[in-house]
Amino acid sequence: MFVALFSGCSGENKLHEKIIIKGVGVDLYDGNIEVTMHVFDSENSVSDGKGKIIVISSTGKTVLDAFNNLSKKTGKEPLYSQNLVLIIGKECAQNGINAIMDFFIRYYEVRPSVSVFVSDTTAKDILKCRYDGFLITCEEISALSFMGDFNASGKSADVTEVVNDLCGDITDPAVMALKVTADEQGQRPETSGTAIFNKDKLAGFLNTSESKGFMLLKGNIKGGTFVLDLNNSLGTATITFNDVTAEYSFDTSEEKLKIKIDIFAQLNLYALDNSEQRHLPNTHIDYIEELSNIKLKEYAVCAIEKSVKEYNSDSLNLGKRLRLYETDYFKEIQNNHRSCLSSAVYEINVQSQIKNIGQEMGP
Amino acid sequence: MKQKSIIKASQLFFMLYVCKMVINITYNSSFSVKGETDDRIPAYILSYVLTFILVLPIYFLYKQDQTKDLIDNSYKLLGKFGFMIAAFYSIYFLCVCIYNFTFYNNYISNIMAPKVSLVLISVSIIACALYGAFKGITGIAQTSTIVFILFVAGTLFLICSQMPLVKDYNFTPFFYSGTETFFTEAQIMLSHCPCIALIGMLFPLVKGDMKKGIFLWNSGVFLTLILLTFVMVGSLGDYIKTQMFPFYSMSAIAGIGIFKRMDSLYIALWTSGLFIKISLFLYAFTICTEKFLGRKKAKIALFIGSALVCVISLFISFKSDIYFFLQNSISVTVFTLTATTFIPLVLLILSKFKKRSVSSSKL
Repeated sequence: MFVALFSGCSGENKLHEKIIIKGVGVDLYDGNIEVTMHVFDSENSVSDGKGKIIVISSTGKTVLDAFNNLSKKTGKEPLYSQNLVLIIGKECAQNGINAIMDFFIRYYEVRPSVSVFVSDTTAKDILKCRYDGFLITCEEISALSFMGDFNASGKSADVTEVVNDLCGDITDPAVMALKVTADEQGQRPETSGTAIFNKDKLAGFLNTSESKGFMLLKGNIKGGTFVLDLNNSLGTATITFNDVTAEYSFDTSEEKLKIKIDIFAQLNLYALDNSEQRHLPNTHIDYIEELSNIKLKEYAVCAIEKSVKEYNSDSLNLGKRLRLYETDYFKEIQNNHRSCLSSAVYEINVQSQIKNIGQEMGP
Repeated sequence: MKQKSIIKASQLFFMLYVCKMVINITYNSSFSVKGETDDRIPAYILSYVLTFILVLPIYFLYKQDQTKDLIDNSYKLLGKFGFMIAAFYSIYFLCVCIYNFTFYNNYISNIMAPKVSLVLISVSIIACALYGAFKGITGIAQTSTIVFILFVAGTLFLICSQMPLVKDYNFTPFFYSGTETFFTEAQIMLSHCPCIALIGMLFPLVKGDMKKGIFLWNSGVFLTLILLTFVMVGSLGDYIKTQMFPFYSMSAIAGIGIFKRMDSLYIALWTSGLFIKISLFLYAFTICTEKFLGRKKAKIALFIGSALVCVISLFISFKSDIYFFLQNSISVTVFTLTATTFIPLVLLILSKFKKRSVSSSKL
């Protein structure tokens, strides 16, 4: 049986005859698709782990056509299974991502766990970043996505999430946005917030604090900080997110849909810049929790104002929640549910709880 | 073919569990079920209840005489016409092998994107299954216990890794898009239960509590399916609608810590499951043919039968029209129900009549 399976090796290209794709960027170029890739250069690899990656671009009528045209330049067959990131340029995202995502659904070799980003300029800009003379690798770019939930500065997403949101025309995708920052040592990509889509087209961006609100509403923050000005002798407090959950309830009895969102935030207080008193009395903690409620509500309101009302997007998955909890109502508004959501009345309640205080017993 | 070998009831039901799960994992639901995936859960519950009803005639035949299998019973009740029942079951068991192998071929050619020759894979698996059938029920039972343990471990891993990603909004209310999915899935589930006929062939070789075994087997199968579907829909949402083999897709995504990209292991595991299933049904085919051909000719028939399974399933794999027909065909369900329930029911009624006529003639 083993011998029979060796037949898979005959007529196949060897590893050094393939270009191992580590990251893919997709842009619109002159009406065509331009694909920029980080590829592993197996013939010119060096031992320190850097310098093995080269950047190659190729154009075509579609993503797969561009990939195919790559082999004309390199004489090698692309291998997609090691790909870690998909970065979509701003113009390309505004044009619609359905056609791009289709390749990532259909092609057997691509992985559904690939992290998806939108560049605020072009994908090529991100993939060409060099710092200290070295290319920023796709492992480093992918790490930005993994840290998204932990620094609460941009909503991370992979192919499965994006496709889940695109299917069925109920919800819209939201993915991490990247920008290029430069200093004297070079350029590197940085999380700049969240890209919000309307159907498959990019509607706009949320900045990092709006993204914080967006992620609060999604209930998927596992870390990240915000600073509170305590207006008293305690100075400022830096609060860390511990865990956040969001519960939604709908009131469809009135003319306008009413959406009540209860956010429960467990927080840690690990930095107080003027803590002469080592042990905080409960009244101070209550005060900090109260201020946290106000601050977090501000973040959430900003996120709703922008993502739902301004961009007319359902990237908060409200449509699917309505379908589950208010099925009959959703069936009525299904065809124009986005406009119903943007005109809905939102009531946001935040309940914060300081869970841990460093070097003190928690409240 | 050591027919006198005895296996434990637990071993029989480990084998049947593996057999049932293999078809559920490799059958291509997207062709047959177009509505909401959630509706499979009530369909599984209905199928769970129906399976208990379908197994009743065979169970009562077993209670009447624990030393006679279905074919022995048919010869006893129908005389030389019992040959027809034996021939019917021989053809039926070969058809089950062809049906399952066709699904597997389709699955492999899509997932492994025919880098390895499909013909060689098929020949290898059939050769192994043929060897298994020759070794007899004890060998198959021992192998299936190992496969069963790996299968359960793999399934638990899938469920545990995806459970934290379950989101309420990914679920759709039951019967949201009508009842078509529910009924289609329930019908398909019924066509996927040839194991009941297998119980009828193997019970003289089994010692132990059959009643408890049937209950645990059926409950285990449907509990696994319900849990897998719940986790799959809750974590991947509409993404699974884009996938031909949703359970496999989930395995490609699932990961805990460094244990990621385990899909290749799952393919290996499912191939082992298929080997068990084909071996077992070829063995059942031999039991039937022995009854009317004799032991020597039955061995030759086993070779011919295995070759037919290989050739016909490959032929169907390349003919998509026949494949689609098999996916969702009422005739497959009717064929299965005839073998699993109608014939045993007729035999049961005949034996009751015979008993009555014997007792009345004594009086």
